[in-house]
Amino acid sequence: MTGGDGGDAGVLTTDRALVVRSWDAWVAAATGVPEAVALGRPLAELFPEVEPRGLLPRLRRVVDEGTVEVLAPAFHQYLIPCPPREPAAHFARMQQHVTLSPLRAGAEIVGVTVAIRDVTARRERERRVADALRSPDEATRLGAVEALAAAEASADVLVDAFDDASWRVRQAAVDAVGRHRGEEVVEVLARVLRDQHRDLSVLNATLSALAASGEEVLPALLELLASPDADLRVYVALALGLRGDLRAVPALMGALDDADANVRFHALEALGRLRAREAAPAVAAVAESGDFSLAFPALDALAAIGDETVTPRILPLLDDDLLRSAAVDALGRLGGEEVVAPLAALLARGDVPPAEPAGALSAIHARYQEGFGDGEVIAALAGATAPAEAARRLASALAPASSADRPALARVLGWLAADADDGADEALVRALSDPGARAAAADGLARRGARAAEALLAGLGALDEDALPAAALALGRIGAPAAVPALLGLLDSAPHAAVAVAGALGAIGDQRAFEPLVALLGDPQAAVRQAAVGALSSIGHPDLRERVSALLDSPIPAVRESAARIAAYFGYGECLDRLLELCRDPDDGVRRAAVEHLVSLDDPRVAGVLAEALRDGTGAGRAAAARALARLAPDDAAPLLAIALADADLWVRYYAARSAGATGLPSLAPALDRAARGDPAVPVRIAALQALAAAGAAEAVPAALALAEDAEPDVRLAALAVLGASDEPEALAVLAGALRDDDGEARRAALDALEGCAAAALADEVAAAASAASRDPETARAAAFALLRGASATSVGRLAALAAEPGVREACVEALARVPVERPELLSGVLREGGSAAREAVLEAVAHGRTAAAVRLAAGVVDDPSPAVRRAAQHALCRLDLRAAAGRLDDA
Amino acid sequence: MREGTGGYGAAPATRGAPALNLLRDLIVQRTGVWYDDAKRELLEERVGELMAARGLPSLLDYYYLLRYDPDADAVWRELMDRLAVPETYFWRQPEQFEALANEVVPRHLAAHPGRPLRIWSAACCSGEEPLSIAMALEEKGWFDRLPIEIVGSDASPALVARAQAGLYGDRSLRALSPARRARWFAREGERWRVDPTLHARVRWATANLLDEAEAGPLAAADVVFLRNVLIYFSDDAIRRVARTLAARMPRDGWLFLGASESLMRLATDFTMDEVGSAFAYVRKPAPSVPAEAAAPRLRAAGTPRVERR
Repeated sequence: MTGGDGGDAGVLTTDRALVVRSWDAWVAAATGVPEAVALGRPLAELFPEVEPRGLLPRLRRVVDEGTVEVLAPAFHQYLIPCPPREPAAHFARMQQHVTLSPLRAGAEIVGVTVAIRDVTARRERERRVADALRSPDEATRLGAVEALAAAEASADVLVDAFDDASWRVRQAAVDAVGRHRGEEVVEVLARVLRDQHRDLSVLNATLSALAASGEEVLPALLELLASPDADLRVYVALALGLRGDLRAVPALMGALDDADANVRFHALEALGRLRAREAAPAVAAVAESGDFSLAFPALDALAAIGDETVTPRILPLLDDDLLRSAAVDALGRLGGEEVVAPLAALLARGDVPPAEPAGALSAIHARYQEGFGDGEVIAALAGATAPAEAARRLASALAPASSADRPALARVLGWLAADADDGADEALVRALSDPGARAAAADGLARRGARAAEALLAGLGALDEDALPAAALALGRIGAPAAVPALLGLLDSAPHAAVAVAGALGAIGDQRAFEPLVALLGDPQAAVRQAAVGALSSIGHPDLRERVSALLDSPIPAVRESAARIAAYFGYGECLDRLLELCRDPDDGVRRAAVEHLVSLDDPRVAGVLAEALRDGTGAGRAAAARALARLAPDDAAPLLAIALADADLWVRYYAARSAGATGLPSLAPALDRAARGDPAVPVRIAALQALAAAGAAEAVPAALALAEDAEPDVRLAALAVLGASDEPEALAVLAGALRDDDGEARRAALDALEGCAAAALADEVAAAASAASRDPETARAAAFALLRGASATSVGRLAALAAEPGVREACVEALARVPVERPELLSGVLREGGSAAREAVLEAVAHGRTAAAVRLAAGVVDDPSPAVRRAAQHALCRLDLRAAAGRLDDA
Repeated sequence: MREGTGGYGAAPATRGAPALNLLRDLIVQRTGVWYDDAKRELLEERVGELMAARGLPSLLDYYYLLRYDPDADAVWRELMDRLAVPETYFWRQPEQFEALANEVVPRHLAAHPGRPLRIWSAACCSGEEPLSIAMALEEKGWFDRLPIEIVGSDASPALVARAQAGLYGDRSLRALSPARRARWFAREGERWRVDPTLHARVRWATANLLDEAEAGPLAAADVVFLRNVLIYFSDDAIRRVARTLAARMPRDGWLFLGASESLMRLATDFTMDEVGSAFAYVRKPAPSVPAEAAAPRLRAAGTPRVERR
């Protein structure tokens, strides 16, 4: 048989009763049925197998509902049986890709258009390649999968590799199926899941492919969730969780009542994975149910869901010996002030490993600190409520603890009130030797104050050398003069700790440190010299002036340099002449320091010196002069900056541009504009552009528009930052385009750039970018804060509305918590008019408030029609009440 | 002015200083070493010292210096020295040296008689690893039986200089038996000097593993030791290094990694194999993608047979 027209596709049409009304030459040739025979006959009569194969309902759906149906060859092979037009080793029938679409007369559906494409050749090629999937050689099988993926082979061919012995081959097949486009992949995966879920390799691969697929798999999975096969229901629940589709939540909540415990288990896990807030009360009920096997996953799911309002329901589980650890962990991930006292109480219980409540408290502290900057609330509350015995138990647990547990133990121990006999200070000192716990131990020692200093001094000799800088910093923070001799000793015995020691001596401010610090002014390391300069400036010894004056003449260049810095910092007038001389010092470092700091002294000769310095033989010297120009009187600086902007050295030009930005001189705008657009050095272009923006120059936005497409990414970012502060239409257009960019970094850059009016004007685009980035925490956060900076009712409303998306919620709440207290109407507006998810998010943010206004906001919605909002309001009031009791709430 | 990615002004929403993030990203691109959030302070401290030495007022300026200065190579070398994590010692993971001496070398000799055996210690730090290799081979007498070239390289010029000096502290020798220490080292003040003959067995070089021009020629080695460095690398950097090695190493080459390291979770051209009592990586065999062979000429259903006369 030959094709009528030589092509590979044909068309037939039917009426509403599926009676053939047209039959083109291709179809006639392919089927061997002439047009005259086919016309007027029902399709099912012409090809009786269409009905038992279940294809008629698909045709009827097109007629009845107007849908477009695709019969993929991977699943159906063909609609109309006919032989292949070319010989095929793998197929006895022509393989057909069939599209069924409604045939319309005006608005009325009068029949079906059936478009048939012969894909036998392609399928045959796929099969030949797929034969290699049976090769004993892994590399061959892997190559076959890769070739099939590259050829975009049908999903049913690729899934044959799901049971391959090699994980690499299976992974390649999963990746390829996951990228596959077309409804057929859903049918194929659902069929594999239904029929082969007992093969663990196939199951794992299928679940992975379902999670990754971009096609609409939810309906098929929901259908399988009703299967009588409990194992299948288990895996479907798992798949629904992996898919991340919130539309599955109601079905998964229904599965919490499944007859099979395994199904309930996986439904819990899936709800946690989906972060389904609406399921939190139901999941909490499972945790409270007393069903030991399900309470654990329920607690884990509650923590993953992140609904803080359930913590009161978890607290009673702290009394359950079996569930306590899981409850502590969940509270650590969810809780706030309201759980601190109960967790702190556990620190003193002999039957509770102290690392568990310490870990939870430390986690809450970290979340409060990183998200809202108020970690101190947790530290203070723990310190105030922990039983007396807690410190002793934590101190005993610290040394034998694992390296994973020790940081939290040290951190919490540091919060607790100091007692002479609890051994806490000694334990914290020993913990300094653990790199992972060092920062927490040092912080704890500093908090515990003078008594800790004694322990630290006693234990100093036994510490690892790596711990000495942290020990010095802690002593500095404590500020105990008794530490000075030991710190001075470290300057000799532990030179690597000199920077930290100098800082500590400066913080303590004891005069005994004066001479040793002066001796450091000539240290070979610049960081040490700078630390010594800083410390001496803090100590303010009465002899400093005289010594510095003398040191300006030291034969050691490093000493002269340090002395110049101090003399300029304090403005020693009697040193002025010498400082002016040092601007011509033969040593580069001395010259730079003198030039850069001389400007602190208000003297008419300074401008002349800087002008001379701009002719220095070294680029570094001229750069120092350019930096100094930022602090010169603008009228004096302007001509010198113009000279520096034309210097041959890029760093001179760079710092000149920075200084020009600081002075804001309009006369420099043309030079800056030229530099921004045309300087060969990227840092100079950026600095010049930013200087224009800082000066509010008219050239800023046009230059930024020109640079928004620059080849250098850093220049583009700087341009976006300038445009982000503008509300000019052209700037907004560029920003809007960047927000839609396929490149995630470009989108983030645009989000970070948005300020004020621009952020408000583009609130919709920002919200869209955030929605698209629900699995990208960095972009989500950037979007949330961009909306915050919009500071308008619209942008804050969008911000609160975004919180309905689990992937963005955390960032939204953190941003909402930063709405200025002077703008309460931005939040009250959401509480009045926003959706329930938005109102919940606002209340969660309000719970971190520090003013009585926060209390009023929360109190205003305790009668909200939404139960979830009422819970959130009550929870917020509970936290704010604790804050008020601790004296941390202002009356504003 | 708000500090956006430009770095001057008030901070945006990103956690951590934006300039430090830029610097961190640049470091991982250039060196492969990733400073996660737990190590941000450490990075800032180390970079701060270098900034002070150059009189740079901000991290952003230091980033620009590294990225755009025409003479940035010197700045990078200084940074690599400062960031180097010199924690190594002699005879670390000895089963690999034993596998080399007992299995790999004999196989090479049998397969390639007369061809020099090239060994590259690719992150040699202060030299303990290539010298341990030399010890293992010397103790088996291999240097007398075939030509062997050992190259020890590191990205840090300061560490290579220490290796070239050949002087070590007690900590470096802690895993050596007294006999081995006595055979290969002599006390010199507070430290130990390695036997000069042994020391001369190793050629020293500076090479950044991510720089194809530097690492490529060295990667054409029969045996590569790349131990306890990939743990600091990003996944992308590991892939890049693996590609360089796969492109240059001979088909029967061996790659030894550290005990806590693995290439198995990434798609590379290497697969693990057992050699003696150790594990190492070998090149995967080249995949043979099935060509579309001509389909057998089958009769399509309904096609009339043509009778041959």
